[in-house]
Amino acid sequence: MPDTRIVITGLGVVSPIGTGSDRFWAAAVKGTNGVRPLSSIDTTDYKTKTGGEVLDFDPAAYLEPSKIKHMGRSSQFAIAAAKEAVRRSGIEVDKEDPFRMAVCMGTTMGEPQILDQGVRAKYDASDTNAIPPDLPRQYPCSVIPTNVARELGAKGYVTIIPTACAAGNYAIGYAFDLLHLGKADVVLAGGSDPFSSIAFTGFNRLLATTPDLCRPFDRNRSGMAVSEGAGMVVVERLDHALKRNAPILAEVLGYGLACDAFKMTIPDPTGSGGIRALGRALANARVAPESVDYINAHGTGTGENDKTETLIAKTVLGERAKSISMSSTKSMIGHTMGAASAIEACACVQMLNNNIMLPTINYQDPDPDCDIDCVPNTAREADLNIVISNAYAFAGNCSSLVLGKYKG
Amino acid sequence: MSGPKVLITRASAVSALGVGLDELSANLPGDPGPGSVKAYEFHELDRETPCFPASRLDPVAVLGKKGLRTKDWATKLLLATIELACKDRFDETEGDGKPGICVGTAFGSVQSIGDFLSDSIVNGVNAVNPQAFANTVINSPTGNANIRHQVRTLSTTVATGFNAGLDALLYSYDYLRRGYLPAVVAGGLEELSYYAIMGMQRSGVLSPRGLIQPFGTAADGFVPGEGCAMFLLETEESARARGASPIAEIAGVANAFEPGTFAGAWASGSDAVRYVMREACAGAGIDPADVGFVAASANGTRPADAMEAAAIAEVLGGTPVTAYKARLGECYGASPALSLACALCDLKAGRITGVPAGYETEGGINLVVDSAAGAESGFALINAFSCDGNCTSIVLKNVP
Amino acid sequence: METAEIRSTIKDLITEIAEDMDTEASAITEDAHFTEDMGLDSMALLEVLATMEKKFSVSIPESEFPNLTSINKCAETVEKYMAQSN
Repeated sequence: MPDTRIVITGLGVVSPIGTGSDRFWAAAVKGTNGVRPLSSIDTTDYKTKTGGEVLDFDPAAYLEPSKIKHMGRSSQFAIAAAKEAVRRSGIEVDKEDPFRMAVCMGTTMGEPQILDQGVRAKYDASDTNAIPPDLPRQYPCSVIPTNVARELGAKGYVTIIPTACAAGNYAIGYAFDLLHLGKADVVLAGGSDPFSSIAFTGFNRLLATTPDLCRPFDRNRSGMAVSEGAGMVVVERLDHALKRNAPILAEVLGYGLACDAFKMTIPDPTGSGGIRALGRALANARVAPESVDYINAHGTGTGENDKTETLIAKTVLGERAKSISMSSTKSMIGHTMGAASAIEACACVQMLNNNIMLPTINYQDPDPDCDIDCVPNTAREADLNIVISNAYAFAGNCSSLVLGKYKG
Repeated sequence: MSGPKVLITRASAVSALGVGLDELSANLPGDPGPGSVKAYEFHELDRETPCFPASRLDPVAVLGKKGLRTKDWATKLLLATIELACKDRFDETEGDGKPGICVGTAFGSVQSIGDFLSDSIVNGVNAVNPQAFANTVINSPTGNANIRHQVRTLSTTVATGFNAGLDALLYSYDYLRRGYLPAVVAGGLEELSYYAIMGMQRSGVLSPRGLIQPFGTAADGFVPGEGCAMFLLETEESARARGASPIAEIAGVANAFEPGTFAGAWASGSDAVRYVMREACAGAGIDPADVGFVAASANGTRPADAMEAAAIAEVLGGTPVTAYKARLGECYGASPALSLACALCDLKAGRITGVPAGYETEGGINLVVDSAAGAESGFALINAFSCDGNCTSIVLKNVP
Repeated sequence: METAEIRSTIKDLITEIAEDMDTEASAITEDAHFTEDMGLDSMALLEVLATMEKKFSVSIPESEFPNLTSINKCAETVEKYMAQSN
């Protein structure tokens, strides 16, 4: 089906600068910083005291109280984002074939707070009987998409791809393929991760966390900020969307995946995986480098990532890289792990619709190794038609997603 | 929709039944019985717990000494299985010609994840080994396989619980049919771990008698196991171009979700379960009556087994049924991939290895006890149904 | 703790890491550069730092990280901070 076109018709966001895609967008356009002193974890022994937290999240706004206690924060975030995305897309679930509604998600840590709760309960009581019998089955990350599917009544393909911090792009990419292969009519795709003490401890131990703010592409960037959130999109075939008069927000043009095969926790400084992923994404989308208007960077704010990512853009886009803008949403919301590229995909859709590029905040001192226009500090108007979202991850996973403005 | 044929050209497995496909095939009809486990580094189970460990694997013997120092057991299981299945395929190709890697696992290494957490609680957040953090992402075993074989084409992990091993094959099947790559090494992986076993104990899903009796009328739960099964999937064109002989074909696949399940309680009649078995047959272009035998998902969890038996009886009538978990334990994400490996062994050996004799079984289905002669059609249906509602079926076709 | 003992403890750890990474045994000397001569990566160096802190019960500030380039340099750094904590 070479002529099948795939579109996004709904968005849902849970983030440290706002829950709900409108609130997220309003805060992001203003360049709001969501990296703050942490309140949900005791930071006494940590060098880093800051990170991202979704402080305004109320699961009762999305779920019946009896269900909330049966699932972890990752599932709750995912359901909140999924319900918003479905509401905005106008999909009436009971009018769809449930076997053709799929859910495809990504995550880094899954439901880490459940494991945390169980292990701490055991240590506190020195007894495994202190662990609630209902708790263990809430832990496997497979429950995140099944909780979403159960809540929405989807009976199609329900899957989760835990490819760490690039997982959102993997999930949206697979949704694109499932629709092309005719395996579904509608796919809810995205990513979710709650704040994880394991991730916070680990990134601290790798000396990768910033002591204060996230400053991507700045010469004095001091690391990433561990954060949490979820992003979900409703993806469907264009003909399916047109038939039900859906709001068409953007077109998914293609994606590309690759792997550094270098180190588990360090990107290949030559950008071997990122170059392949971006090149494949452009080929898959049949987009020439000259047509790309903007890149939403992985942009974690670590020394290695931002430098390598600049190299990747220059290598693949050539001359175009000099005039292209490439900003980091993580400067505002921190690194939401497996949710990151899903939230960034939502941000890209909003940028396409508003013709505004979101800024990289906390930017003061240019770095010659990152000589790109990172849209410093202030959002900027631009005629956006084709945008790319990059996401990289532990294990060297690399991904690029290509989105386009829908023009009929 | 039609697309290129997806063939299996290599396969390997590591489990309680041995190292490599030949050992699996030879040991499958035997009855090793479960072993047991109790103590782990940070924690101890409150009693010796019956399980099926892959204790015949010596990682150094398969992988050599180098590069294993910081690798966890799940990673070693995966690396060894891939090494046995297709090390030479990775060695003989360069760069973008290498097959991708896609692993289905429920947990990655939850032993590493939980131990990192336990270490930070016991010894302090500044005393944990930074290298151990790399093992806490669910895709860590997959990433280590990519690094070992310098595979830059694809590194994907699928984590749909009990279904992960089959869903990773589905992901790879779709990836091949989209034309992104000519070949992917795909399958399922799971390690036995303190955290998973303790969680299963608390959930009350393990057999108090320490017996795993799929479709048993007196079954009281399952016995956990571990292992890994990996397959080299490639398009017919790719196999032909390099002169590789296919050993089997992934003829039909289907996936659905049963929302009527929650916290392990299966709806008594699941239309998703019937749907995937019919769809997988339809995808293979066969009538359900043409299926030679069914490798069931059943593991001794009574409501789920009864549900599956009823669905098989309705869709496939008197087709012979087996449940390899009786011999391998419930290996979680690895289980359906190991079932597929067992089915492959049985198809090749012209037999159907059934469940061991010695317990009363559900009526209504043609459950093979001990063993039976192989079915002539050459088709096996492999099921995976999870307690969360994931339903996957694959039709495997023998290529003699 | 004696200087020689500190040095040999560090050397044992470095040897274990280097051998796993396929470094030639002859390359592992007390003055050899971790990254340039032995091919260790920054992850391994972080592990060395973490292990030294644990084994010798010292706290070594992050700012010393770039100076930990050989077995001898590590031993010197450990002694410096052990002396300070006494």
